[in-house]
Amino acid sequence: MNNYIDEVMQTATMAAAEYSQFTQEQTDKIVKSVFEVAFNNRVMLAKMAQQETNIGIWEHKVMKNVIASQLVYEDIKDLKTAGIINEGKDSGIIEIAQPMGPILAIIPITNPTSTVIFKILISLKARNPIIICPSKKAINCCSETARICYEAALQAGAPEGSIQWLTSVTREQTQALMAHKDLSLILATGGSGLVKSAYSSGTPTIGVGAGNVPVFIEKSADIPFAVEQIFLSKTFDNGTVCASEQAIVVEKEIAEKVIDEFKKRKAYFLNPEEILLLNKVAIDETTHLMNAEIVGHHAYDIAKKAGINSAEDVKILIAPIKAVGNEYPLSSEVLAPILAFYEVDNFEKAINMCIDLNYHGGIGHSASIFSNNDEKIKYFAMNMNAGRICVNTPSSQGAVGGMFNKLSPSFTLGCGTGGKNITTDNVSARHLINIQRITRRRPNERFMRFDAALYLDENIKADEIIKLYNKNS
Amino acid sequence: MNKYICDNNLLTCVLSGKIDTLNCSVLENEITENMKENITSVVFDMQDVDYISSTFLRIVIKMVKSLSVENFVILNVQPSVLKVFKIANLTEIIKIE
Repeated sequence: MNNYIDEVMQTATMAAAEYSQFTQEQTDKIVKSVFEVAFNNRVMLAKMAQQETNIGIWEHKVMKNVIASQLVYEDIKDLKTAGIINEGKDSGIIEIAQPMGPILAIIPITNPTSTVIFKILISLKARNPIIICPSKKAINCCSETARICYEAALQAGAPEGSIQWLTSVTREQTQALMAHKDLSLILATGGSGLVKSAYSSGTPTIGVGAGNVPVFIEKSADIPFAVEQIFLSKTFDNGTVCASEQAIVVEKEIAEKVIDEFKKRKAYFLNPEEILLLNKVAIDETTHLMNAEIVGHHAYDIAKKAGINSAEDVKILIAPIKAVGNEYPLSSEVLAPILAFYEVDNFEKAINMCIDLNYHGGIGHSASIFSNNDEKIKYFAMNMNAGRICVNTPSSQGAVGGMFNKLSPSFTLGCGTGGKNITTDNVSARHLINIQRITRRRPNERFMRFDAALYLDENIKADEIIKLYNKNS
Repeated sequence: MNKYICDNNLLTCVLSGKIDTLNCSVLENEITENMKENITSVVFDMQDVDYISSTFLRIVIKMVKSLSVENFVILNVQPSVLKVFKIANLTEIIKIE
């Protein structure tokens, strides 16, 4: 059954062996060539992704491809990833970058072509061969992306087999691949089941967590600006970015103004009956997870599906609700132009509401605040369990990085241990190298001159030892 | 320039330089030409090789499969090349001396 997988892995292993001999210059030439071909095909691939998955908006998928190619390339092109990458004269430590080996890249349906471009660029930059494992419903667009990148990579001198893609693979084969002894790393961007299965494979995995991003419009915020930005974010590719805002939290004092601004921009506020209708189509009653059928769809189509009468040009559906939890289905993550809306009495209650939302399925991911008060921004951040706290920024584009801030542009957003991940970083090429350290002798003077026999005397306590240890230093 | 020495049923291939994908097709042809019917063992002397491609690794696998582990030996590998064999997981299935 696993002959196919063994073959794939053998090809990847051979490619890894050859690639390990490449210099920085050879590597950079390949990365540049892949960036250019991906960028030049950004529109074709975006249209293909939209048509195949029926998710999102092709023009926005073009932007995602631009981020994954142009901005990612700009971010990584000067990074040292081969040979000596750092020489600390004083520390006596020289750092050497070594490739990790074959990487398996799991690709989600929501950002298929962009994630393929991104993962290929960062893997190749680190001299690792990559195997693309696309979502079943995005096989064609992912394969085409991988194919054109591979051709360009080969022309630039990349090893044969440095990019492979799986066009049909069973669940058993995916599992066999994930657990394969020659696989070095899994870049698991996808649903929680898949990420968990990658972790359980025994192969080191950089995974992601689910989001449930609260956005707090604090009363010092520039309200029209804040609403404009949230619109920009929540309507981007019909809300398919996992860092998109899920719930707006406002203090009573400014609630009316916020509501007016949203209405001006064609958001539709649902009444309690309509909320019940939307609950049914947006969230699965048993699993309490979003319904895949509405992911990345237009607000009007979702409203129609739910039996809600809204204007045809409606952009976002907003559900004013009171609390967070499974009894309030729309307090959970929905990757579509739907937002929950909470009006609370004061600042503390707003923060508490954001904490509840953050811990309701989005631990470690991202949070967002609009405010012009530094202290409140920091207070908000300290109380969130989020890898990224975006300030006065559309959170979809903000968390992905590279456009509105200096975060590394990435389609793999680490969610820390809260999201069961090893990092809160925006994952990039720097995470895909093994760093060796040559460490020259630089004796710790205090340790050398200290009488080590004193450690053997259990009657000498810590404070006395520390005093002696630091004497005359 | 690769050199080929036939001694009874032993063929010694003295390889040199950078064995990239392009050189591999030349190498494969040369080996085929020198594999006379009586040849039962092959040695790759890699003293002067400082780079090997994945295509070369495939040639090595092919050689082991057709000759058996005992009858195919790789000699005098440089450290950087030995490491490549290790990364490719081939040191378990081929004799490197």
